[in-house]
Amino acid sequence: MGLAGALSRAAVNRLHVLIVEIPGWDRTRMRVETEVRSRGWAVSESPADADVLLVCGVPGADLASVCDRVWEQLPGPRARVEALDEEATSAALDEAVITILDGAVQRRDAVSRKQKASEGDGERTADPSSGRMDHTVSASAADTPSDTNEGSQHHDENPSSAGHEHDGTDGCEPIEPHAEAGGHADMDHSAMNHDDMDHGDMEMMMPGGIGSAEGGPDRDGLNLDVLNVPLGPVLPHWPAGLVIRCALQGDVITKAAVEILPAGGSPPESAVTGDGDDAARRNGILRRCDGIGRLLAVAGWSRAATMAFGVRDRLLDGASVQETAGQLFRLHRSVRRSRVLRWSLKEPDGVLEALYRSLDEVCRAAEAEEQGGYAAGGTLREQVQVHAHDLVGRLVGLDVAAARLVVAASVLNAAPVLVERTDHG
Amino acid sequence: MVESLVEVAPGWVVVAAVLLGLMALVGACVDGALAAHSDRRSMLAGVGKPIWETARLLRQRRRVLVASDPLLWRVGGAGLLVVALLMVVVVPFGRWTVADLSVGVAWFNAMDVMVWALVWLTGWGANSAHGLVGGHRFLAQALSYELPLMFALTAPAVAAGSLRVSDVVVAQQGLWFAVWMPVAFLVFCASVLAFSVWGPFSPAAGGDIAGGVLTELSSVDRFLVLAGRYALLAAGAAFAVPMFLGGGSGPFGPEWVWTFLKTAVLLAAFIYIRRLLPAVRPDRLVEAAWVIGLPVVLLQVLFVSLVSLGGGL
Repeated sequence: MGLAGALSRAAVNRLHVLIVEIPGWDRTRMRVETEVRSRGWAVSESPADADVLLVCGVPGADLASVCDRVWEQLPGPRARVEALDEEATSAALDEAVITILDGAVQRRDAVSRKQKASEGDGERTADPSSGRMDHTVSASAADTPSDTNEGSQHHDENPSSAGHEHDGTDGCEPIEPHAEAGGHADMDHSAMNHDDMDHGDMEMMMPGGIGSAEGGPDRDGLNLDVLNVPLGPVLPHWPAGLVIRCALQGDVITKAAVEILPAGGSPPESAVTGDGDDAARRNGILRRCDGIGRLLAVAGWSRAATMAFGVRDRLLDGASVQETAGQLFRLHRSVRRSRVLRWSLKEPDGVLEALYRSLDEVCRAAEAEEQGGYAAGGTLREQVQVHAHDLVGRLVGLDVAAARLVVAASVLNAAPVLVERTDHG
Repeated sequence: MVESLVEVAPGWVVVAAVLLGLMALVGACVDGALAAHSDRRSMLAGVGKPIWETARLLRQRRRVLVASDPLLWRVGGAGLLVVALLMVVVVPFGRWTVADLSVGVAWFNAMDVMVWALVWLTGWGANSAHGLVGGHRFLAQALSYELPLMFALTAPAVAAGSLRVSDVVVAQQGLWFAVWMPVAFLVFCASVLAFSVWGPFSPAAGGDIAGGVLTELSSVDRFLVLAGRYALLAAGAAFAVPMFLGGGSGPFGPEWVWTFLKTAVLLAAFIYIRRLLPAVRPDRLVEAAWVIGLPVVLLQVLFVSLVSLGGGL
């Protein structure tokens, strides 16, 4: 073993974990993030960068197939684990370490991937339902009715790209995971229709049966390639289960359709409601801090994001709102003060305002809590519902960076916090 | 005092490479320590990060992507380290330099322009939408920083009346250029961060697009790109020393110690800035760079030119 053993023991000091959050399991996801950070590991941004795939919750059929395809993209050595509640996270990560260190398991995995790849080449046209997910499911966004016709034209041109016909999966709308573009690692050159990566400007067909992108007039009147790229459901700091199928020109969204992929089960009780009033209030603030941290992370400000996640993690560990109030006020101050942030978020409209408002509300709630709490009662701000069609309207015409900010800001106020005190009597 | 520089045999470039690698490693260790600190763990626990990351990436399998351009993709990834090394060959280390070119300053500039192509290829070659968006972002960013960087490099060259790095060092015997041309120095530092895709200038590798140009990289390919970023930061810091910080001059001791110290301090500052500021989106940066940055640097060059015409400070 010698060198290889030393190498793998060094490597498990810093595993990268790709987290897939199923809607409803947000507390589990937060717990995983905390756990990963306290071990000195990293949360990975794309499957290529990941050693461990951790699925938080019970995925529905669509999300399950997404997980399978993301799993195919992990380079290996790799481990796939799941956590169904907060208590299970630590054990899941420990299990991942054992799997990664187990040379025999990893070798078997590698061999079976190679075999699959070579079988896949021969079989794919003959037997599209052979159980390999990506035969039937990686028919990408372009195959769904909601899409632009750009994709379907491709298919007509490329009869060789077998397996995209949706065979037997009509009930389940196929989703491309985020880094799907070209992401069928190692062995998967079986020509699923990777419409999302057809950005070549060549007229001829590309290797792997992928056609090139069609052009279209862009907002400046130029003729630019149109790419069909789904954003989500596996993206860093992205709302669970959300998929936005975009048509992109350059990095500007010209068309968008929103979909939410459901969970395949119900989350554990504690994730839905806390026990009692106090817990509900704390939960609200905790979720707000999570949202604020995620927006700041999307805006690329890791220091402030870490501060917000710090408050969140302490609440998650059972600290009271009073105990974290000081930290919260500090965060509020630095975010409000930052000129660079204000300047960088001048566009798109509404993002900065939403961030400020959310922070103000959380701080007001914490302040009230500090001054004796809401034992006498108070109103919970109503849960803000995010309407998919509103979102779509706001995304078209934005570039990807702006769209991500808008999405992060739109779910910011989804958790209820106490905003005003009502006097009883 | 800096006396005339000695040009050593080309074989010494190996030593330059080792020194560059060492600096890059120091940078990565500092980054690991700072990351651990912000996660409220002991800084010591984070120092080993680059070692563990390297072990992890060396164990990983490389990926072969559908319809990618593996040659150009990997040229882009591996090229960053090469460019960083080509940058440091003109940097004097104390009294020694590998190549004291008559156009040393322009050489550095030419090398940093190569980064445009390399980062773009890294994003484009993978045939991935996120990588491509990252590549676009980098080009937009490069359009913002390149001209200010060129003029920032012009200022010391004008003051020294030479494009030779050793002449620039000698011209700072009295006063460091960083002191009397601070704008050029600051713009140079910001540009180093920008061509290293670092800190506020890292949207090309942003988490919002799943790592952008890094999205599809794994294993050795990812290692080369990440190491290349640290090496570029180190090379930029090293080049700032002869250009703005008086080269190897120091109150006592051998000159190479001072070169090393100054480089390390500047590099640490670069690393530290990463967490301090929010990312600046390239479309916002363009406005600031052209409307404010460029005119200010031009004024700096004008000032330096007038001072030089008048016989210097």
